[in-house]
Amino acid sequence: MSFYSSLPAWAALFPILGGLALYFITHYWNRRYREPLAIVIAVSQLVMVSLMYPAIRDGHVLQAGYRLFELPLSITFRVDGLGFFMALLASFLWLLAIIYSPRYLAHSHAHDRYYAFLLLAQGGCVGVMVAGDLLGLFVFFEFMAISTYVLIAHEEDAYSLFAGAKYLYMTVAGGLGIFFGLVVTYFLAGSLSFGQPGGLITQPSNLALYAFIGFLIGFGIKAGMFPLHVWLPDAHPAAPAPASALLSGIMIKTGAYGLIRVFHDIYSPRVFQEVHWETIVLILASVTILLGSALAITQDSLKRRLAYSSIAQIGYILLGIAMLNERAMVGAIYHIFTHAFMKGCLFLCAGAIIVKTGKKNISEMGGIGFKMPLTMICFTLASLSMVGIPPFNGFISKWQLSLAALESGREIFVALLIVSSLLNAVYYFPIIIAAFFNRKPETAEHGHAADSAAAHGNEPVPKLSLAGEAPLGMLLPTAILAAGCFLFALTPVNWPLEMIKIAAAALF
Amino acid sequence: MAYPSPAESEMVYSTLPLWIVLIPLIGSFFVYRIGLKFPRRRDSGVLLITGLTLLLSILLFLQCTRGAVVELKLQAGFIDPLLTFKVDFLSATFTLLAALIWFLATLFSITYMQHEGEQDRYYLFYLLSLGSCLGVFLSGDLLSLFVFFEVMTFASYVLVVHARTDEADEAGRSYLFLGVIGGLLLLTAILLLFYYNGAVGLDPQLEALDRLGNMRYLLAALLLAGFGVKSGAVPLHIWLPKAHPVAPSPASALLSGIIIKTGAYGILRVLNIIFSPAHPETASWHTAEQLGLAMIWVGVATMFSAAFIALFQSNAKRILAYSSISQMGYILMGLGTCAYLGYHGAIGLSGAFYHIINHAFFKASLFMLVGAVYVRTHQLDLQKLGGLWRSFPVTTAAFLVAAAGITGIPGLNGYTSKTLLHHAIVEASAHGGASTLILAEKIFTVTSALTVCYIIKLFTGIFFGPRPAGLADLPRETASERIVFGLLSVAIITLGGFPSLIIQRIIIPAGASFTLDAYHLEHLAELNFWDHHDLQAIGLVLGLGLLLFLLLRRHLYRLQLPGWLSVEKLIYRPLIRTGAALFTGTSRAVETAVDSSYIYSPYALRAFTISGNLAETAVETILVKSLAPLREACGKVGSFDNEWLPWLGRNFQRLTVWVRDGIYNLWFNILGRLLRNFIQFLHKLFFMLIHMDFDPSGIRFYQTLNVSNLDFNLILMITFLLVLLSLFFLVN
Repeated sequence: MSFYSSLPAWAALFPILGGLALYFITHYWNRRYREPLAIVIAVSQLVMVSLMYPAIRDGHVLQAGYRLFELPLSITFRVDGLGFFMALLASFLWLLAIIYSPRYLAHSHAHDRYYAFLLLAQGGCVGVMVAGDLLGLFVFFEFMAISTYVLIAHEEDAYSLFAGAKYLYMTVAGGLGIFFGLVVTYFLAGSLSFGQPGGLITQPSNLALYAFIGFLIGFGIKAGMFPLHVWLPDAHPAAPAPASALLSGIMIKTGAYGLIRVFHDIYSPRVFQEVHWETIVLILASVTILLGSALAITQDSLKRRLAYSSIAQIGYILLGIAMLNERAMVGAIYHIFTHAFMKGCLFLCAGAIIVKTGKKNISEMGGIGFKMPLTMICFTLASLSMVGIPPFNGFISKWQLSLAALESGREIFVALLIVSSLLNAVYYFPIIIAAFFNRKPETAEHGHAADSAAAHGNEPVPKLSLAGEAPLGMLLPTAILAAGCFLFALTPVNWPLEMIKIAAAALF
Repeated sequence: MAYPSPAESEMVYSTLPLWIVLIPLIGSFFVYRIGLKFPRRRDSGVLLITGLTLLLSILLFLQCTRGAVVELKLQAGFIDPLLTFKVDFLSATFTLLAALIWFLATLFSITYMQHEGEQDRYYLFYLLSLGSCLGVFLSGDLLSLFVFFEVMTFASYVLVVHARTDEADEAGRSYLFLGVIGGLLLLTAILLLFYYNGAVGLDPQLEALDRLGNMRYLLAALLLAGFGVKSGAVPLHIWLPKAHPVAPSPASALLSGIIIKTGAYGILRVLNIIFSPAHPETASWHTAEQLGLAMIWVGVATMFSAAFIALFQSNAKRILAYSSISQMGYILMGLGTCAYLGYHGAIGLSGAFYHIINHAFFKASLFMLVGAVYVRTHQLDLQKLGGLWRSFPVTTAAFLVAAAGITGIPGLNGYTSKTLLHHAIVEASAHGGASTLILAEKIFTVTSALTVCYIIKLFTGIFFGPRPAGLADLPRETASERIVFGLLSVAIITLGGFPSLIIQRIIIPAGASFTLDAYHLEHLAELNFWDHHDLQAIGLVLGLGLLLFLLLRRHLYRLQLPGWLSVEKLIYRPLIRTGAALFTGTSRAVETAVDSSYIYSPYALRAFTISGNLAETAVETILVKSLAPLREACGKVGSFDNEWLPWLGRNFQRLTVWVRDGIYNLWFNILGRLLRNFIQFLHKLFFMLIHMDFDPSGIRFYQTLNVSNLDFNLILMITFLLVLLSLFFLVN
């Protein structure tokens, strides 16, 4: 097991070392190796994470301790089913984002910095998922958060600097919240290791509640939970599209992941049966869903709409985590997976539209389905998944979450999920309708208004053409993500769902 | 019993249902791919696929005719339970009906769609709709059914918005969002059913549902509303009159002929099967009766209001759309009576089921006929059409057959089903305490008369009267159109001509899936449709309709209902607007408040730092500056302590030594001098005394010192002694 047990540590440290190496190689030696090297690092990372699969499948928990600091505490690495799944998801998304990036950044600046920090953030993000104790999680969490700042502020214009600053300060505040929780946990339990049966804090007390609130603030800020979400709608539009896809796809999920660890490894569901602190999360998650949806409807900027939609979707995940039963956990983790694919895909589509047409607002996007059909088909598939149409992944997570709501006797959340599905439809379908079925922008360009009689046959029908389509390097990751929105659902055995069921069962 | 009930019937495992669904679904993408390069091969490809689907449906139907229930279970990644197909005779009939109408519509589409353009996209979604629609009929449980139902909604949406005009856009939006809402209602219901009941099968389970208490009404309401949206039940019908007119005519034919029947099929499955007890002898039918009564009234309201509105329409396809709603009202009422009559409801079922089949044929026929006219005239307004019977003799004849069918002329199919429905409502009004159902029977008659009236209006509006100037030299129907119209007319006549055969061969076997009294079911076959009561009833209807038309003839083409008179504009839109404004408004306010509290938190920080500065200054002023002298003093004290004090100490020591020495010396000097002076004094005194004694003048002062002066001597003595003593001490 020594080979296996060293894998988690390498999974976290390899991208960091790789990122640093990449920066120095490209900056001081030869910049032609930049993109290939980044892809090679990301692929190796994915392979390395995948190598853990046989052990995880057999039900092992990979564990290794490293005394990085000469403290009574040490950073340990520990990968169970949940951590493995999240790490795999993160590595996969990062690879796609890195494949997508060169074309997107063609006219941008500071490529060396971008790729280096992309890989550093990956190291931090995977590190969060493979950390075996709260200290390691905290360290990697902060590392990821700070690296991400560079990605958000990449454009270096006033808006992105503002968004970056907002993100940075809120993240720092969140880090302090986690740190507070960490200290209290260490004080109460004398240990910070995950995976202890019965959790670390076994007795509810006032101090334990304060620690819980500290964790909630820390991880809630990262996750984008109301009222700590305000950095998110600014940071996502400001960041380059692949970075927003990663932010929304996986990085905000580290907050949710952290909360899962808080609920199950630091505290235990038994504690919450006594004191019901999870009600705070349930209420905030409900508000998050409704608020995110409502604001998504009112946005005209596509990326902003997607960002608010992310807030609403993170509400589902938090809801699933806080319902504290196994099926809800399956729903929540599955939604993490689902949302990573669909929102990643949507952001990549938005990026492709910006690169090819420069359009950022939905009101300008009429007829765009004829210029970029493949991109918009991917967009459509992801949106249908977002609404929760049956064969798509979004349906599965909503189904699981709704059943879990019934199981835990909270029928109201079924109504919430249903209403939110409808709201999803309200803010995604008009984009698709305008892209494919509205001929207004064309007629406006030609300068004559369409009367309904002329609409039949006389008017030139816009032709589908691939001329304005995004380049293959951008299309491929988008299409892979779009396919991921339904492919697993059509196979007889839904592999991610089975993985997640095992992971969730291990938590309870 | 001649036909085995599902429990006894043979279970056959076959992949046939899967292929029926998959061939159009997968074929659609191939057709699209081919169509991008070879438009001609695309058309034949579509024909091939729909033909193949029809063929397989016939095979399936034949299999079911032999009493088999075809079943197939698939494991699919996206649902917990299996994706099941279960085809009983009822499903097989619906499947066959859908495949047949779709095939005919394809034949019609090939010529029609050349005028609409964008056939590639049209056929892609045309076939997707076909596959998913058949999936709805073939599904073995509610969840699988729901899956196909949703796919069908989205696929048919694209057919509705095909023209891409503002009108189509608006209609499509209504269709899409009502479809989504309906789907979500269904999903909620299925979820609740799955959780509370543990089963989402399509078999009778009223016994289990009755145990759920009031939850069963919620379940029924959600399910019936979900399917009711699709079937156009009032007041959920608002998408229908918008969507059907704007869609291309073959698509309208399919929407009206088949797709809205999926709603009726769903209601049939829910109301008449799921909400019926499995063991009729022991169970209570109470719930079914209540739901049935509600459904009767929904049906009656639907049929009457839609027929009434249809009278005032001048757009041909709009009349047909309202007519579809109205006919769906008949079907819903029939299903309602079936549930209301409970175990003896065979008559209601037969009427509704028969009418579903009939309506599929005549409404598909009517839409395609109007479509054939529209392709050539580009006109749907009745006031701008007229006198076309010369140009389109075949169309006129086929229209006449379909119109006769829908109005219920004896001998054609509408007569049979409406008679059955009439029997059903009469039986229902006689059945229970609900005497108000007699009123429903009256409305039924009036509605049928209104139907006659608007169909005559439509027919004469298009084919008779003066021909407007622009409509000369129109091309005639093509051969494929004539074939389609001919086939549909033959079907309508056949369905009407052999009612007993249809009942015997189709309706009674289909009835085996229901919990119905076998006697009543078998009895249907012996119904005489040429009974004079029925003929009288239909005569009354026809006469009333004709009379109405003759009376209103002058005004009928010009009368318009006020624009605001619609449930959509009066209720839905204001409700949605207010709700949306409240919801987004509140959220925005909250968001702005939260966001600005964060954004302006740097100002709070600044205030914090400023106040900190102030406090710092204040504290410094008060505590530090005011104490500057003290601080200096303290500083001095410090230096004093370090430097001055030792110096002082040293000097003090020196001083004390000096003082001591000084005092010592001084004292010694003083004493010495005192002593010396004293000795000198004594010396002088002695000599003075001696001298005084030897004073020649004789004054002897010394002698005056005597004993009486002893005190003075004593003082001198003591003083002397003291001095001596102090000297002694000082020296020691």
